Amino acid sequence: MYKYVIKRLISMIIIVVCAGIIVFTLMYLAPGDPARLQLGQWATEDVLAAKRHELGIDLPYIVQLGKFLYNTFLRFDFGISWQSSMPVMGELAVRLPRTLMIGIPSMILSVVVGTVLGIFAATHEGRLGDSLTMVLTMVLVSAPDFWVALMFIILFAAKLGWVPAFGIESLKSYILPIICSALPVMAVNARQARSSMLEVIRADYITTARSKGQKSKVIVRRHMFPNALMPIITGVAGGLCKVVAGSPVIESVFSIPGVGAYLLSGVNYRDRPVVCGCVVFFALFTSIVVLLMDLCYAFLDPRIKAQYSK
Amino acid sequence: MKKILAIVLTLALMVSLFAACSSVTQSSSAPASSTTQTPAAAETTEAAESAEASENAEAEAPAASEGRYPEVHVAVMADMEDLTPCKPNGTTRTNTFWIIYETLFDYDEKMNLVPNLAKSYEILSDTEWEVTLFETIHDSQGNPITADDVVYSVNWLVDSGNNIRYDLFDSIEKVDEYTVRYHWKDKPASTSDLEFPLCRTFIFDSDAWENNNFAVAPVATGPYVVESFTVGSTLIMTANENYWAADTDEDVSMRAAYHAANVDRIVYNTITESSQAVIGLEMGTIDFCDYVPAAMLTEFEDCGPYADQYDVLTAPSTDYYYILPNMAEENARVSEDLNLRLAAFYALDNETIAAVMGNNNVPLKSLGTAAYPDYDTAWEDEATYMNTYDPELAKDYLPQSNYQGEELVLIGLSTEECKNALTMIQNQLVQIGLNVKIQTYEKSFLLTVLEEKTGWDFYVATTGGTTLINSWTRIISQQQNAGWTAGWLKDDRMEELYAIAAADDTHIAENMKICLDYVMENGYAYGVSGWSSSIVHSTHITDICYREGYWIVGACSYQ
Repeated sequence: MYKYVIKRLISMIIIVVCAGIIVFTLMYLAPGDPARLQLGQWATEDVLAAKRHELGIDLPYIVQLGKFLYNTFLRFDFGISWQSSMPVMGELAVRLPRTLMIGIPSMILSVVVGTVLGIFAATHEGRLGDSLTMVLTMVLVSAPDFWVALMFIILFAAKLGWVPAFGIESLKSYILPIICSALPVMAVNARQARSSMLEVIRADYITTARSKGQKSKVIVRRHMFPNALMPIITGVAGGLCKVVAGSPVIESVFSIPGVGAYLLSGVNYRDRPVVCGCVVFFALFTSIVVLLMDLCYAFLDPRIKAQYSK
Repeated sequence: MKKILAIVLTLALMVSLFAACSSVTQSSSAPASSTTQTPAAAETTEAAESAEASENAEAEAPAASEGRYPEVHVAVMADMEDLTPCKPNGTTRTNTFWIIYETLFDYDEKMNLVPNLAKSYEILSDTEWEVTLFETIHDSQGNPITADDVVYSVNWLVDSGNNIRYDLFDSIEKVDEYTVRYHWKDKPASTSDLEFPLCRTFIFDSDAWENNNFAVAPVATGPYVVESFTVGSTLIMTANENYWAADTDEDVSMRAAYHAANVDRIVYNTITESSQAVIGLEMGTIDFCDYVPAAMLTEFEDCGPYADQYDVLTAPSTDYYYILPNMAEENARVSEDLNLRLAAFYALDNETIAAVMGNNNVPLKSLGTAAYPDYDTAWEDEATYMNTYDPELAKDYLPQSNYQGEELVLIGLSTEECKNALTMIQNQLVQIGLNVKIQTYEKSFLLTVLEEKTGWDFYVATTGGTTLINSWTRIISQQQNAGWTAGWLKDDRMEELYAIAAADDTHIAENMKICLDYVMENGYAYGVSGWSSSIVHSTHITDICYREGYWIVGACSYQ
């Protein structure tokens, strides 16, 4: 097991470095002149050349890449944003809590409610409750998140005045973004949980449990749910990976200065340190989450644990 | 029972989603108490309701001073990113930077230099100017501002690589405690040549710069100080109680009126979505917004549901769209074919183009907008291709050209507004038989495309500036692009006429008209549309203060 974890850690490092190289190269190849973008249309060629030199973008690709890899992976320094002149690491540290303030509650909400809805639908298969749940989840999956967000703002902020429409002034400001982020994921989770449960529901051991006279609630809790948990964990892990990346749409609509909005602004301004820093950070976090997810599989399923031990 | 509960919950959720789709105007009398209050009162209610952070901020804020309006909330579309005193490159930055920082001089309405931190200047020779500062200037922390700080600020800007339009600047030196000497590389033809060194370079104390993080907490000499700045969210400013110009015994009466603090606290809320800003206005949490979509303005105009709380002010902006042909020698099909250019320009109807662009675009009748102090409306009386849509004349010009049906490439920004303009231009050009292809680019890429002399034939762009002649710099001055205009034009006569029109001594309407006529004769540019900004503001603001076309909330009049 230890060997497996060490192997995974080594591959994780390689993956993150590769992600860094790929995103750096893509940003290097992206059209547009960051110096011109910063200085505007009035800048003369001399001033532009000086700016390019200051940013270090006049160096050969391989030198720029080497500097990036050295600073990022050996000094843990993502550099300074070309647009705002602020350290990327510092900005991520400031923005991440805001993104997590939305992401974590949203994920918990979507997993808990989604799973409960999925189980409810599966145990009422073919009946009205199942149909209504599936219709609702279909609507939520299909509706664009910015539309849902705007509708919620109009209803709960503008009409009812229960929560602020934008900003981060108080905890109440986070209520709508959390709900709007959670709804589509919740719908996906519900559908995922339903299909997992339906697979299990037809298994022989469930029929056996029923024939032994087990109560329905006990069958669901003890036999069906643990066996249907694997796909749900996969969904949760996927959601967790997205948590740190934030949602540029939700953050933009609610004017929340989070990581998603930061990355979006970085892309718009060809701000290479911001984009590379964010992507490397996301890659690192995602790798850790995937590793933890695999360990969870091993914990839950002895067959997988036995494979890892080999 | 469970089924019923499930059905009820599901229906409730779906109804709530779709109920929100209904028009806001229909329910403007809805329960939100704030919508029926005055904006200021609504702010108070909102602040009271909205918990911790607000309360803390309120507690820390100074009490409203007598004569000042207590607090105003402004919606801004773009984030300030940082408050470092280099060149502001966005409207929001301009509006906010100008009340935090100050420069040596300002312009008056006739573009003369008027005192700001400097009380006077003396021209020693063609290439030497001496500038004398007021002697009682200090920043918000009390640090005195002297000649050393001016030299430091200017050199810092140059070293940082943000010295835009510093072409004439050579060096700066301290003469005495309150006097600095500028050395220019050449004799400035006009004061507008010195716009950036003298009127756009912010001055700050060198020690304050070393000891403070100006990116988020600048220390400067302006009428407002930064109380807090959350990047991407809010910038809160309070009136500078230690403002040097308010308690000096020097004569500062020549300084411009917009260096005033008529409101105690200004909260800039970054709201990127215009629909969100409209909701903020409807809820009474926003007092001032200049990017309400045209279709929503009726909500706030007379007879609108919010007319009692807000006024709408529509004012022409100095920014405008224009079309440049690619005049590079390498692009002979356009640069050497006057008939083709005239055919294209006579085929355009800028009234229709402006209409489809939306966002309060108004068609231009000449090359510029009436918002400029040096614009002469008499130019509009003469029929030109900019105010005459004549497809028949265009069809007459076209056979005289060398055009053989080749594909012409029309490029522009990928914004919705520009794309609409490009589509309409394409449609109108197709009408006379031109084969036009549209290519749109993001801002960063577009400038790179323009640096190539081939690959494009016509370019739709925007410009602006403090004066009309200044705005023409990029269009017809060959100094801006290492010997060419932005459209790769090289015409000595054009440059000569522009230089005469731009020089201080000869900057008169007559010379500008000569310049303009030459542009028209040669089909060098086409004015498409000008922006007119519509500001929705609380009725507590009685008069909007503008500085060079940009609003200054702190200096507005309040009741």
